Amino acid sequence: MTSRIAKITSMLIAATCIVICGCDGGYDCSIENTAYNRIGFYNIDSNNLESKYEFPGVLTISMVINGRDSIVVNRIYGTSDLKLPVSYANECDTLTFNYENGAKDTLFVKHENIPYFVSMECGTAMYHRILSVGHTNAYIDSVAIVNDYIDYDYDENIKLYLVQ
Amino acid sequence: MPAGLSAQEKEEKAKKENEYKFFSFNGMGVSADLFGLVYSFIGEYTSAEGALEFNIGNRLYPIAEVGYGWCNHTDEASGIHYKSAAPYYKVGISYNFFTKRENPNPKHYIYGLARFCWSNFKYDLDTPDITDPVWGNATSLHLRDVEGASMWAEVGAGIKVKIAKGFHMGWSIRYKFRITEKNGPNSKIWYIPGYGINKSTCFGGTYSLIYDIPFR
Repeated sequence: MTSRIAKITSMLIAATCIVICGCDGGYDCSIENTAYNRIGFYNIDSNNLESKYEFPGVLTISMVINGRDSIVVNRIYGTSDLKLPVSYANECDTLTFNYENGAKDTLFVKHENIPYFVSMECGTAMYHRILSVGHTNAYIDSVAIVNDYIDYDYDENIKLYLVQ
Repeated sequence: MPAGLSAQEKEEKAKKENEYKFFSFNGMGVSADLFGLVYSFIGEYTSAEGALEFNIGNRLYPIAEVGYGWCNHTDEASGIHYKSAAPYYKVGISYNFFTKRENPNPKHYIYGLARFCWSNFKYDLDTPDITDPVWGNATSLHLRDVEGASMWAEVGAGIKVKIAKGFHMGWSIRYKFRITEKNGPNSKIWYIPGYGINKSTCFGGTYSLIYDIPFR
């Protein structure tokens, strides 16, 4: 009987070790620590509206940050997508697209801010929900919100349809 | 034992009494788990648990466990404070591997267990300021009475040894895996009463004192 108990006990200990090794060790915190508004460019004149469009020119983007116009993307060439910061406290972010020829477009992104507790290890994140997007029409033809929830995912949030 | 029985009759009667019956109801037991209370010295949460089990043929033990788990923890690194306290429930069965036809009343048990568990609870959460890296504003999260719920299952094994007449003491190890979780709108559940820290799987244990209520 004693040897049987010893045998079964050792089996239990071995099973315990296997179980411990197989346990979920903790959280995998995201590498990202900021949720960005991801914007993709599309050509409204293209036959394929699903295909990305590389803007054929130099683009500078500024945002109104604490009352001042601040450059967030400086003289980028041939880009087809952007990732832009979203304010934690404002209800609407104003983005200005400055084109090489002096033309400008303004994008108004109205959003809700969602502080979100992830875990003790990963801390608290700030996510956002896009409520609406307004724009001027120098080069922007139209916009589409394709994913209104802005979190750490790499999914595109807004499609920007540009005229050629 | 009535007088006048021969030695052979006595032996046959004793043999009949010891004859193994798979579905015989042999009594009930009540137990208290001491592990949850001790765990508060090394972990972030505490629990107290009691159980009522039925003895079917010394082999099958249908069991209902009721506990109360609580957590009032502030993380030193992040400064996040999480508070929750709620009851939890477990139902399931244990199977004693030691009961054999030739040994129907073992003093010591080694058993396998399976449990289905659930808890509905509320929690409070306070976070320090989150600073906007671009605009510089700071905001924080202060949530009260957020409703959460979870269901999970436990499988494992344990040992029970007789320590005195009517009393057993034992321990069990349990592999827990979460089945469902209901998070609040602005937060993930961090602690589930009865389960522990909210991960997809975790490991737990019990150290119990059991009183066997005799049936016959």
